[in-house]
Amino acid sequence: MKKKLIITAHDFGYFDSINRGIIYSLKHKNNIITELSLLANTPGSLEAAKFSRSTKISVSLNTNFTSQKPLSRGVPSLVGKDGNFLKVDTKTWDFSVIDRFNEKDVTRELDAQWDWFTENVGRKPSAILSKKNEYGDPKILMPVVSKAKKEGVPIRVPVWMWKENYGAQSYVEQEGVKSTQNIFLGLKEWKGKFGYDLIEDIDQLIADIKTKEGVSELLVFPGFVDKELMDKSTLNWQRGQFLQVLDNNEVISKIKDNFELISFRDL
Amino acid sequence: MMKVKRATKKLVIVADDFGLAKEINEGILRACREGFVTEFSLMLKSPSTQHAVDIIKKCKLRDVGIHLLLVGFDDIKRMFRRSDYVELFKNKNYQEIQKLAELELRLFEKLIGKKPTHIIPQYGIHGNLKLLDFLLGYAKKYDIPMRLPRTTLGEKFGENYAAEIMLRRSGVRTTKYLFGHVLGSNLLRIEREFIDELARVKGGESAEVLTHPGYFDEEVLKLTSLNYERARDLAMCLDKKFEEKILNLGYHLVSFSQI
Repeated sequence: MKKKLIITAHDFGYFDSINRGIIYSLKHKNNIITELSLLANTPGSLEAAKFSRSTKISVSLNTNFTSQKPLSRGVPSLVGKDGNFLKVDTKTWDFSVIDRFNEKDVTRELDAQWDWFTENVGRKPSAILSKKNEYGDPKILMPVVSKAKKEGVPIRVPVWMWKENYGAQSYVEQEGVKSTQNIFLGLKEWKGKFGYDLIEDIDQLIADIKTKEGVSELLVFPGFVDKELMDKSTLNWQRGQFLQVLDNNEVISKIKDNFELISFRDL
Repeated sequence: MMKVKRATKKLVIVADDFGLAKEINEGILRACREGFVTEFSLMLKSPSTQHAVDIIKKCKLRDVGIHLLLVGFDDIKRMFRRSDYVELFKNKNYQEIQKLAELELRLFEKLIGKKPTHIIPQYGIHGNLKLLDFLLGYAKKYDIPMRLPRTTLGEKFGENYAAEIMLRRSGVRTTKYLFGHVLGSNLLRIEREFIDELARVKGGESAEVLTHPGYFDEEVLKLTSLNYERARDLAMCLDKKFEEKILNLGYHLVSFSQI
């Protein structure tokens, strides 16, 4: 039996260029994306929600507690003086600002992002995901798990730094919330630390996914690149690579031949 | 002897599994007396727990921590395996896990006459939040340091950020790093790897090296999957040159109570 694989387009709604890149990918004859991960609080969110409303594809909520502004008011532990979320450093993976978060504020912001989604997309998210997988931290994980439980939706395996995180993973299982078991990043040139080049490393990636038990998720990062993206996201030119991968019939066939492609709502 | 430079780093060297078998107990005692082991953790409800307790009393050993098992050999007449722990955490709720831990901590006090000087759960099972939740409260209340919750119930020698960040936020004392090379037959390579890892620790920081020293006989072979490795670790703990290399990296060898 083929292993199950979810292929998620990350950061839908971040910027216009990313929205256009993701929509281009979905319309491509070689499309392999099965899940969109929609951000609620970013410049392109409304446009992305509009598109999501018009399609039947599985769309999850990409919760975000560390970029741009919160949607809720009265969450002082999450924000700085400028009203933006407190800054983290993904270069050194310094997320120590989360020490200052309190769970009540996290819950309030999570609810606001969830409500924004249902209102603008017109249906429930297929899952609760996370922008930088901040919910590998128990302070965010616990509110996320209680929300997922209440709403009956799955979440992504709560890795940290995209690596194993036993305490969080066993917690999700013990609480009876469904989740994927593994995650792979379809991008190599990201801080040089994680992930696979979908063209050069495709055979290795397929072999590695096959060694894992349970459902895996491959996170991809489609996007066109304009001045706004270049100036505002540290992950910029790299997003263009996926659009080129789509034209590589060999890579696409290998993925389709080796896995049963599913989405979060199939969990 | 080479000159020791600025010793600003702290290193705890712990011998695990004291109480598991007589030959292990004897090996650990030697590793403490003649080697550089600074502390050991006592296994309760195990085949040679009483033998270990007698040694502790006779030799007036002070730094004795608990190697927390939740379910011991005496309970089920065999060692509790990793898969047993996975099932235990699946089937028991927070209160039931807490009860097991409380009983064991109470038994420790009854046998030793005081609270443990550290808490080191078997296989890093305190990485599971059902146990960690209770242990953090206990350790905080009595100011008892705890090993970093690297858990080996998952895939590897466990990345476990969730448990680690909870431990750090609680204020319970722990080391910044935990190093261990449990398997393997190449002692020289293992010593080299320890030295490489220890060299990366900065001044003012602390680390723990976990070891399993012990002699090795038929009882040990039958009881545990770690067998000749214990004799290997004993040899390492008695290796004066290795100890000198560690000291030359700027380490104080300390017990958990000094971190």
